[in-house]
Parts: sequence; C-alpha cells; structure tokens
Amino acid sequence: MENLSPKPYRLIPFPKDTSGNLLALAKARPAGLDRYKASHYTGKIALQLNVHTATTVLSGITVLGSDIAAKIPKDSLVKTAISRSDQLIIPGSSLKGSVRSIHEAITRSCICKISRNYKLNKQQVKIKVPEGYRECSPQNKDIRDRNVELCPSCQVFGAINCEGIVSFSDAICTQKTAIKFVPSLYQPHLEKEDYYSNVKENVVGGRKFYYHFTNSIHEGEKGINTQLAVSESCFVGSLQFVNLTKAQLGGLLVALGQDQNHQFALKVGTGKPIGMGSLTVDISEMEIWTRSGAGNIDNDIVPHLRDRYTRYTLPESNQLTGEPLKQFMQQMIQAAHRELIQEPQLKQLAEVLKFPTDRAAPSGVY
Amino acid sequence: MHKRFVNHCTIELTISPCGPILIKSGKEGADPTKPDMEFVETYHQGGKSIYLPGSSLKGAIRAHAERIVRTVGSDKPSSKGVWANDPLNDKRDYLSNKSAPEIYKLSCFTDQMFGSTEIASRVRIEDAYPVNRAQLKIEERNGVAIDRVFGSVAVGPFNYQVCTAGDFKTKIHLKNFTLAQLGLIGLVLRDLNDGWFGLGFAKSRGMGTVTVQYDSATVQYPGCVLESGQIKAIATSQQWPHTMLLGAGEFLDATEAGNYGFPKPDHQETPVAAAAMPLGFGVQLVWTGQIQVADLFERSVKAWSRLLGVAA
Ligand SMILES: [Zn+2]
Repeated sequence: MENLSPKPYRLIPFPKDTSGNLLALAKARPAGLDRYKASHYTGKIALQLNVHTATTVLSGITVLGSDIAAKIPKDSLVKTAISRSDQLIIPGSSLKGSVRSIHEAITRSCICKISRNYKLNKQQVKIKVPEGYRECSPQNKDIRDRNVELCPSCQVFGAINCEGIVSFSDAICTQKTAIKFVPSLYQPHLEKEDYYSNVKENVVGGRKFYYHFTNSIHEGEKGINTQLAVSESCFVGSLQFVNLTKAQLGGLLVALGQDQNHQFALKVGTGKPIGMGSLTVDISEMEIWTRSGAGNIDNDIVPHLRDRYTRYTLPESNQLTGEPLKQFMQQMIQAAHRELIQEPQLKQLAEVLKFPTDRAAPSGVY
Repeated sequence: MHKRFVNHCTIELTISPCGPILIKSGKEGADPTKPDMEFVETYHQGGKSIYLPGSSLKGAIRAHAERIVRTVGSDKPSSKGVWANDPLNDKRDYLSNKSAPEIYKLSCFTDQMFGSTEIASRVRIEDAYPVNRAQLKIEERNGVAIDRVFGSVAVGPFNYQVCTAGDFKTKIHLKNFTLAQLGLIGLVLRDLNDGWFGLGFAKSRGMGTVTVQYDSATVQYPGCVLESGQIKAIATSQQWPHTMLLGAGEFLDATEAGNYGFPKPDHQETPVAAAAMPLGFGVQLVWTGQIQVADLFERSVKAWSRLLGVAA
C-alpha cells in the first residue's frame, strides 16, 4: 500500500527530439590528462556548501551513544558520520556523485549506474535501458590507443578505465556536529510502474531526483540517532579541473546550481526522501589557467600556463573573484547552453531541485 | 660519460596527506574481514607500517613532468625545445643502430631523466616511510554508487582504507643531472604541493593530494676538490667559484657535451657555499630548509626556462 502523501521524487525523462524520439548520446573524445591543452581551462574552484537541512554521509560505523556524546543515553546506539578530527566530512566521492547525476540528466549522457534486475514473485526481472543509453565502458586498449568516445558526463567525470578531469576534495564542516533521530527508510521498489517508460518491456524512463523540502523529518516509530550537520552550518571544499572546454566548465557550473536562471540546491548524503541533505553552493574564488591561442577574449584575466611553467615562484594571487569571476562564470554557462545543456531537462530538474522551496517533507511511509 | 659520475643531487622531503590517500596493495578482497582495498604495508624499523613506495612516487612525478613538457614543448621528436614521448606506446625506432651518446641525445627529455628501455634512469626515489607511526591516521571508507533511476545502491558498498594524516619522509636522487632537469623536478614538486596532481588511487574522487615540505638538498661534485675558494675538477683542472651550482655539461669538454646534448655552459650562482665532503673526496653544497631549497629550485628553473627560449 502506498501512503497518500505525494511522492518525494520525480523522474527526469531522457532528452527527446520534437517528434518524441530519444536523442543519441553526444559522444566525443575525452580531453585526456597527458598535457594541458590549448584553449582549455585548468584550475581550482573554492566551494562553500551551505547546509539547509540536516546533512550527513554515514561512515558505516554504529557506536554506543556514550562514546561520542555525553547527552545521549549510555546504551543507545548512534550511527556515525564520516569525520576527521571531530569535524564532519562530505567525501569528495559523495559530492562528485551528486553533481554528476545532475550533469547526466541535463546533458545527452549515458545511464551511468543502474541495477541490472530485481526479484518479483521469486522471478528475476531484467531491467532495460533505452537503446543507446547504456553506460560508456571503454576498453583499456582503446584508451591506450586514444580511440574512444564518451558521453558528456563520462568525458568530464570519468568512466571505467578512463580517469575523469574533475576531482572534488573532501568538504569539511566548519561547525560542531549534532545528533538527531533519523527514521528508517525503505528501499525503493524497483517494480514500481512509474520508473518505466515501457512497463511491459521494463525499459526505464528517466532519472530519479528527490525534491527539496522546507525541513527534514526526525521522528518516527523506527529509526536511530545519527551524527549530522544541522542547518545553517557549512562545509568548505574545492574542485580541481583539468582541460575543460568553455562549455564543459559552464556545464559543471550549471550542475552546481550556478546558472542565474536555473538556481537550485544539491542533495547529498543520506535521508533524501525525508528532506535531508539540502545544500546550496557558493563560489567566491576560482584559480584558472589556460593555454589559449591568439584572439581569445579572456587572455587578459586568465593567466597563461606557459608562464606557470617558466617560473618557480608564482604571483601572489591568481584568484578570480568578485565581478570578473561572475562575468567569467556567466560566459562559460552561456557556452554550455549553446553546446551542451538540454534545456527541457534543465528546466524540469531546476523545478525539482528548486531552493528555497515551500514543499513540506512528506510524513508517513518513505 | 655513462661510467663517469660528475654531479649528484639529493633532495630530502616530507610528504603529508591533506585528505585521504590510498596507495593500493596488490592483494584485493581475499580476506572478507579486511577492506576490499588496503594500503601497501611493509616492515620498517621493527614494525609493520603503511608507506608510499618510491615506484608510485616516481610514476606520479614522471607523469606530471611529461605533462609539463608536452604543454610547453612537444610530444613528437623535436630538435629544438623540449619534447616528451608517450612512454608506453613509443617504439623508439629513432634510436635503432645509434651510439650511446646519440641514444641519450635523441631520447626525449623525460626518458633522459626517468629512463626508458634504452637508457638508465637518472632519477631515483626512495620509499617514503612515516616519521612517526603513532601520528598516522588511517580510516576505512566505504564507497557506494547510487542507482540513477531508482535511487538505490547500484554498486557497493566496497570498503577501502585511506590515510588522512601523517608525515612521510623520502629522498629524491638525481645523478649526472642538468640544471634544467633539476628545475623541472622543482616545478613538479611545486605542483604536487599545490594539488595539481595527486598520489595513488581515485584521484578523480579528490584523493591523493598532499603537501610537500623541503627538508634539505645536497649537491655533490665527486671529482672535485675545494682549493683556495674555488671548486676544482681533479681530472681536468677546470675551476669555478665556490658558490656555483653546476650541471653535468660543465664537467665535459665541448665535444663530449655536444655529443650527448648536454647544455654547456650550465651553471647558476647560489648563495650557498661549497664545502669539502666528509672523508676528503669531493665537494658539496647543502641547502637547508624550505626557503633555501625553494631558492635552489628558483635558480634551476632559470636554466629550464632558457632551454625553452624564455630569457631568465
Ligand atoms: Zn557515459
């Protein structure tokens, strides 16, 4: 039996042309890491993640309450979050996963990770992906021969045998951790019809994203105390990138919710159906280098890699900040809209991930 | 030239993770009670300890050196400027039936430094061991991949072991080096410290970034003596001021240097003065601490830049 509250998520359908046919993946050669390429950008973005609802990435370890906090009853159990020196951490891998899944949905990218089958009435049911949308999985040999094409997300975030060209550092919480009750969540039901565009054939119809809610739910019959970062705390991290084109850098910024016309928050960590893990991203600093040819308009604000590699001591500040940074980001985002972004998908996703929101977290069965 | 030993540089440094790092051990997932991916371990100073194998450090340093050379130079054989091959796919036909000096001269900049099937490496990097095992922080992480359609776990959880804090000491040795080679090592180490590349596993998940602290650098000229404030080559009676950083080409006559393609002149003035080596053989210059070693690299990078045609 389903509960009556609306579903906490929505499926973003795969991109289609005007007559309703699926668009093919926009495959191209990955840039590679063997050199810094001309007319590409390499650098680092400082990320501030503002916590709006309780957020945690669990360590997988459960301890006795008395071991981590005096206020928790001695014999009660607490699920711990990943932390370092008592500061909570969002591992780079979690942040990357969250941004990547957005990027996949708003570009013509493969279905990167999906379960192969599920059991129904003791029968294995095979799950199918639409024609041509299977995960890019280049062979090692093809990578060596530089003879490989990948979808937009795999080009940037990496694929099997092919390293990505962006990397997310661990983000570290600047405030004290808290402990709150988190109700138990049910596993998604893979047989639910609304996951499929062709129910009879078990062909999946889109990518699942949870809505943001005004609050997260911390009560219920079953559940466990959990270590987490409360709203209004903040995590600090960074993102390193190598050899991104304008459109790729713009696409990454859009996926981080930085498009002024499509601002949204990320969902990270555990408890997404009950409103947890809502984070907005602030970017106030970017270090950026290029090896551009003549006539490139950003030559005067973006330093040249040749200068980096002909001197040992670098100028004090290579950071782009303030208005120049804003303009630069908008330039990149415009390029992404021209070359990369699927507008209907971005529009729908921005609606699901809209923040702030007035949706209240659903109660009852999750 | 191959049998002679004209100069040598040892850089002592401390590497410290700034986030999780993992240098994987070969064995995977055999013991179900252990993480799927474990850090390499060895016996060191009477106990078992994780460490950073010199071979992985060298691999990462070489890859970044190649990246720099290809960025400012070429990836194809080039008689002017620098170039770096694709070490795994280069069949090195251009070296067949060539003499030893020609093989060195025709090899690319990074093969000359790090070695190839045809020439020995001039760079050696020692295994990096923890300064204090008790200060190491080792955590277990678990990775999951979230199913994009259903939101459930599609892959995992797989566990891996990471080191997130500690200091590892190592030494980089350069033998018969040119100043440009030393300069390139300096640029690579600067970039490692700046997080431009990482060590070990899952770099695209943000792992492997470290800081690099220079402890000291020692440059030795084994065939020289110190005589009335001058560095003097015993065999050739060449001499230089006692504050001179000397590349390999300086010790060769013009013909031999030309045959191998060693730059000559190849020297830089330095604030550090030479001293006699212990036991009376050879002369050495010692740079101590972060600031002095950085100054050594600053000066070496000038030689590197000159090679690229950039006036220093
Ligand atoms: Zn793909």
